Amino acid sequence: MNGGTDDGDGEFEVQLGAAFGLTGGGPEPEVTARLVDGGLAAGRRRKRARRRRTVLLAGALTAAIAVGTGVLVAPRDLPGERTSVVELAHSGPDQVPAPLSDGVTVLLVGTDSALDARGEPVPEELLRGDLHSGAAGAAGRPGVTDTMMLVHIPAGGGEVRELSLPRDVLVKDTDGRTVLLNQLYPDAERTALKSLADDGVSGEALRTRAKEAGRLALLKSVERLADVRVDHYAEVSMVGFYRTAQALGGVPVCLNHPVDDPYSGVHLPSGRQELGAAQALAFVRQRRGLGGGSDLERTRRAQAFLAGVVEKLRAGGTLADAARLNALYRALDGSLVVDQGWSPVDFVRQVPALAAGKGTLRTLPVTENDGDGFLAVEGAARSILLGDAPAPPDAPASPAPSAPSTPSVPSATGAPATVRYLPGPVELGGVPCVD
Amino acid sequence: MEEEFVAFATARTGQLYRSAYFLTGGDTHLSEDLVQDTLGQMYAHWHRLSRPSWAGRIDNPAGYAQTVLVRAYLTHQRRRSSSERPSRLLPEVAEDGPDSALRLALVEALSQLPPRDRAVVVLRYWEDRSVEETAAIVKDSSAAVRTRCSRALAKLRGLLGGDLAELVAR
Repeated sequence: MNGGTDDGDGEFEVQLGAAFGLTGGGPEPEVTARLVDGGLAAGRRRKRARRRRTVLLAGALTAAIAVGTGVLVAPRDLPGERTSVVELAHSGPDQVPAPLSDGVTVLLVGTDSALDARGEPVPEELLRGDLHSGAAGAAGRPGVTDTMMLVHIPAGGGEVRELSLPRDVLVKDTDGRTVLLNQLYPDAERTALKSLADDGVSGEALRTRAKEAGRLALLKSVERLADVRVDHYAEVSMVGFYRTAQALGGVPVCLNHPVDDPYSGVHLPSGRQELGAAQALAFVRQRRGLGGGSDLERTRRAQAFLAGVVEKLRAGGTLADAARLNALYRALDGSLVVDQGWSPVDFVRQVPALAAGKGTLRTLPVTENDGDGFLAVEGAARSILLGDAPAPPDAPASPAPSAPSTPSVPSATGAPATVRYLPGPVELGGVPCVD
Repeated sequence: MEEEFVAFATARTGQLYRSAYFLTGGDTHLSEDLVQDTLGQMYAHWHRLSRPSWAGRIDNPAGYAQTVLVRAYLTHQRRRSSSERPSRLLPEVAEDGPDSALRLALVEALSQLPPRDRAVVVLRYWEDRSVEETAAIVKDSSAAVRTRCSRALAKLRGLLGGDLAELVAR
C-alpha cells in the first residue's frame, strides 16, 4: 500500500474526481448512433410486449381500495389479468346466500406473493429494497392473503360499508378441515398446481388455473363466513400496491405515536403525514409492535390507509373527474386483478358516497380460540355489512356467542367466549389517526 | 414524441456510456448492453414525462436514466454474481489520447472493487451525487453508503496512490 495518511483523504477524493473528469472518452459518434438505435428497438419491443399483455383492469376506486388492502400480486409490466372466479363460484349446485337486494358487495384481497400476475418474480431490487419483504418473498410459493376486505355499497350508492376480515379467522376449507382464512387461497392453489400438473397442464395455463382455484376457494369461504353474496372481486399484490401508491403520489395518514419497526421497515413520526410508496407498504404491513403482535390491530392500518386514499382522491377532485379517473386508471394497468365483466371505473362513478366521503370501515369481531386463530362472531359480518341489525356492542364483556353454530368454525368449548378485539370504526371523509 | 426521445437518447448516450464504462470496470460490451437496456426502459416509460405529477410523472429524465442504468447494472451483477467473468475486457476504444494512461489506471483500479462499492464510487465521484442521493439510487442507507465509500477509497488509494496525482497533473 502506498499513499494513505489520513490527512490526504480529502486530497485523494479531489484527485479521484479530477481523474474521472479527465477520462471522459465517450463513444464514437457511430457507436452512439448504434446505441440509440438499439435502445429504440429495445424500447419498442418492451412496449409491444406490454401492450399485448395489457387488458383493461382496474378503476381508480378499486385501485385505491386495493391499495388499502396491502395486497400484492402484480409487478411492473403486469398485464391486467381477469378472473372468472365470481362466475365460477355461482355456477353448479353449491348454493350461495341470497343476493343482497340491489346492493353490491366487493371482495378485496391482498396477497404477499412474490410473483406477479404473470408469474414472474418481482424485481430483486424491490424485494430487497423498498418492499422490505426479505427472504419471505423470495421463493415462488403461493402467497397468503393477509388482507381481505368486504365492501358493500347499498342500493343507491349513498354509503360505503367496509368489513375487514382478520386473516387469522378459522374457516372450513372445501374438504371440511379447519384452516386459517389467509391459508385458503395458497392451499387451494398448491393443490391445484399439483393435480393440474399431473394432468399435463403446464406453463401459463397451469399458473392461471391454479390461481383461479385459490381465488375460488377463498371467495366461497368468505361468502359462507359472512353470509353474503360476493358480486365482484379485486386482488392486488404487494408490488401492485407499491406501484399504485407510487401513482397516487403520497397518501395522507395520521399516527397517534411515532413508529420504528425494522421488520416492516416503517419509520414514521406521529401526526398527520403523506406516505410515499415504500412507507405506505410498511405502514399497512407492520405487525410487530402493534397491540399484541397478532394481526387484528393491523386491520386498522389498512382501513386508515384506505381512508387516506379516498381522501387524497377526493380532495384532489379526482373522484369527481372522469378524465382524471381514467388517467389514474391507465397508470394502474397491470397492478390489479379484477373479475371479468366488471368496470371498476364505472363502479366508482356510480358510488357518490366515495366522492362525498361517506362510509364506515369496521373489523369483524372475533373471539379467542383454544389453539391457533380466532373464531368469528356469528352473524356479525352480515349485520355490519348490510346494516340490517345492530352491530355487536363495543364492551368486550357482553357478547357471548358460546358454542356458536357458526358455519365456518368448530364448536367452541363450554366457557363463554369474550370478544377479543373490537376496535372502533374508521370513518371515511378525513384522515383518521391510528396507533 | 419519438423525435423527442431520439434527441434525448442521442444527447444522453455519451454520459450513460461513460457511467456504464466505469460501473463495469471497463467492460465495453457490457456497457453497451446496459446503455441500450437503459434507453429501452426510458422509451417504454417516455409517456410518463407528460403525466400529471400525481400520476407518477418523470420530472428529470436525464437523472432518471442514470438511476435506471445503475440499477440495471446492479441487477445484472446480482444475476451474474455466481459466475463473475474472470477476465475483464480491456477497453478497445482508441487509447492514443493523452488521458489513456490515466483512464487505464483508473479503470483497472475500479475493476478491483466489489460491484456495489464501485457503483457508490462512480455515483459519488463521477456523477457528483450526494451521499443521500447515492443511497436512494442503490437502495442502501446513508451510513452504508459512507462505509462503502471510505472502504473503496482506501482500496483505490492503495492501488493508485501517488500515481493518481501524477497522472492527473500531466
